[in-house]
Amino acid sequence: MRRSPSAEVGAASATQRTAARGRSGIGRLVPRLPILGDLRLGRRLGWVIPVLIVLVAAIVGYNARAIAQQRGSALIVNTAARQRALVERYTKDVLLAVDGFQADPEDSAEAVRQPVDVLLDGGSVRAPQGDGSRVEIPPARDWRIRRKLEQDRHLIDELIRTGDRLLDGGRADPSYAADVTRLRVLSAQLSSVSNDAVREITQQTEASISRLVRIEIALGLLGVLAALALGLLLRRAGAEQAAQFRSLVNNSSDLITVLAPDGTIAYQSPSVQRLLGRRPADLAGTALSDLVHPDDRHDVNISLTKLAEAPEATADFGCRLQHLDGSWRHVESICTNLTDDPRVNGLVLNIRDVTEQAALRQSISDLLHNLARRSQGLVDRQLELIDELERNEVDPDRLQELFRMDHLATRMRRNVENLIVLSGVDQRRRWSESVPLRDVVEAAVAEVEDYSRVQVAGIHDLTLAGQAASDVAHLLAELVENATSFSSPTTMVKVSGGPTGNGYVLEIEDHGIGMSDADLDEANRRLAAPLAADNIAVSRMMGFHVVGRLAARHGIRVQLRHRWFGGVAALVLLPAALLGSAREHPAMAPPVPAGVMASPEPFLPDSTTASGWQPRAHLPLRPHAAPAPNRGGDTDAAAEAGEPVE
Amino acid sequence: MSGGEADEGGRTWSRHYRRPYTITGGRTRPAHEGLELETLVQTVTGVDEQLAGLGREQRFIAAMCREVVSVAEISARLDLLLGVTRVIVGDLALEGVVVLYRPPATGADADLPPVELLERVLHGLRKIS
Repeated sequence: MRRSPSAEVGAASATQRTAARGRSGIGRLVPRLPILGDLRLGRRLGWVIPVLIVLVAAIVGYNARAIAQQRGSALIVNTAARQRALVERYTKDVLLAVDGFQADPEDSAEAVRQPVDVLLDGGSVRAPQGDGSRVEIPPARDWRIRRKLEQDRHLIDELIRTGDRLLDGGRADPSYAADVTRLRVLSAQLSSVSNDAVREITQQTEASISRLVRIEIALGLLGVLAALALGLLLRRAGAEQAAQFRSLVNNSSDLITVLAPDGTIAYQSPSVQRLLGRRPADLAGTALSDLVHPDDRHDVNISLTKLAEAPEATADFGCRLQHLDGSWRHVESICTNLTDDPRVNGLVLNIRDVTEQAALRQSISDLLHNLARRSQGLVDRQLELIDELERNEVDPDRLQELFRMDHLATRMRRNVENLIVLSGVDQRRRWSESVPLRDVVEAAVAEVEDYSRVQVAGIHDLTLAGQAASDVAHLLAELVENATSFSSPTTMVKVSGGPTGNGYVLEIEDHGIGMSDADLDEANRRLAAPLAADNIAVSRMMGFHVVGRLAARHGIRVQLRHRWFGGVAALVLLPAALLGSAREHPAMAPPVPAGVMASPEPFLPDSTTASGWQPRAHLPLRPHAAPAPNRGGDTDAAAEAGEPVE
Repeated sequence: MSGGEADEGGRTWSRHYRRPYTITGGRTRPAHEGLELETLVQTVTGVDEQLAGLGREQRFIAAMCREVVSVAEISARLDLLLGVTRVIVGDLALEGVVVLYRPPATGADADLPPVELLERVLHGLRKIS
């Protein structure tokens, strides 16, 4: 019983040593990292708990043993005392039997032997409570007790031998008188020796019980001490850790704000003093939205309201917060809904100051924009010059060279104008007049490297609002470029168009190898939600970001689809608000002097607009909520029904 | 920044962004031999349905040439590069949409007015328009 706990202790301390070595290894790698506080706590308390367990086990064990011993000792005393009575009964039984009275000395002899045997060699005796149960008694160990008991047994043997002789011989025996005397003497001796034994046993028992009590008191004291030490250590470690975290919170440049469910500030970390010049106590109980820039307030409220409805969800937003001196600080916030956590019961906002980054971004974006604007001016002048040269050129070979220059400059202009869009500065060339849609498509084709592979067919006689013309041209150019570069040089890329219920769809189809489902999804995601300008540079699908941003400026929707017979189709939905009828557009008639030509009528062969379709601009249109473009044509129906061909 | 850019130099968006090389797919050499500035062009009657599949410039030229017009005049009226006009007219002639007439020779080729003179005439025509 006492071996096993100590073995456990050995095993436990061995594990602990291994663990401690492991931790000190980590500790060497990241020295004094404050977040490791809890690990240090665990190491410090590691030895206390096994010690406590051992102490408690020892106390319980000793208690059990003491109780067993006490019960045994009482039995032994009882047994020894009973033996005296048994000896006297035997003596009387023998004398009575010799005198011819009814008695059973044989039985008494057995009864006399038994207690001594049990006390000396161990065995079981009937419990003194008399409920029939038997109690085990261990053999006596103490040598003094054993000597007395041996003497006892010896005397009993002697007594029984004398008794037997008396029973055999009876009164007629010559030694009768001597034997009776001897019997009485032996009985008296036995009584005395038994008394001695009982006294010895009692003394032994008392000594052992008092020893047990002393040990128990000592163990109990040890346990109390260990528990006290554990408590103190825990308290100190807890306080240390709390101080560490408090210092982390206080000295962090980030703000930690807890918003109550009603939107007021329930807790504000002290770092707000540095960031916003305000004291945490002043902010507690005020609404966060009071600090938010009026332009951002709506978005912030939407984000927080949405978050408040989703327990344990996380959201992030950027906004401007007002410093006490009236200036605005750009911040980014990560918020977690912990309303379900009763210890917090609110939204936890981790707010970081990004004013410098915002300024840096702005200056990079301004720089980008300025450079692009300058390049744009130069490219425009270059194109004007090329125009002049082309106009006067009659030699086919030299015109060919000029065309190549023209093409390069046109592509350069497209890049430069895309850069202006990406810079995020919303300054665009405003062409007041509307432009024939077909011209926009052809302009897009002119901006593509491999323009001779592009086939434009069946674009309706519509016009596009002037302010969107360049952006749409660049957007289409990006998609056509994608189509030509990812299809075989021997195949054509087809650009066609058709009216839909809420606008006009341009479709760019290639016969390329197609895109994987993952790439297509990724591209469509980028088209739907383009990243900010400074993130695009690192993106793999930069072209689609550009398209997405160009499209977003005018409420245009762009989507890529698999064509079931191979390749990819890009669908561009131009909202009806951007479109106009081309019938009376001056650009659709050749620029001839009035009166020279008989009538403009023959110049408009009307076969492509036989249906006389007009954009239904009077429909209430919401470009962003428009459904996915679907012309309902064979190609689309097949593309939707068919498996992507990879 | 650019309120005035729209009308800068009287250019429209299309002239600015639609490049001449796309009209002919980058070709500068006429498919038809013997196309000169003074070559006269006339549209063949009964080709209206054939026009539907053509580009805008082709259709304009076909419409304009219901009466006989010279290549130089087409170029000037449509404000189209001469090199491009020649390619388109050559294509139309090959497809049988137009027929070409050489103007009656007034003498030996050496007696023809020099190109400079023709360009000056062209310039004058532009001024009239």
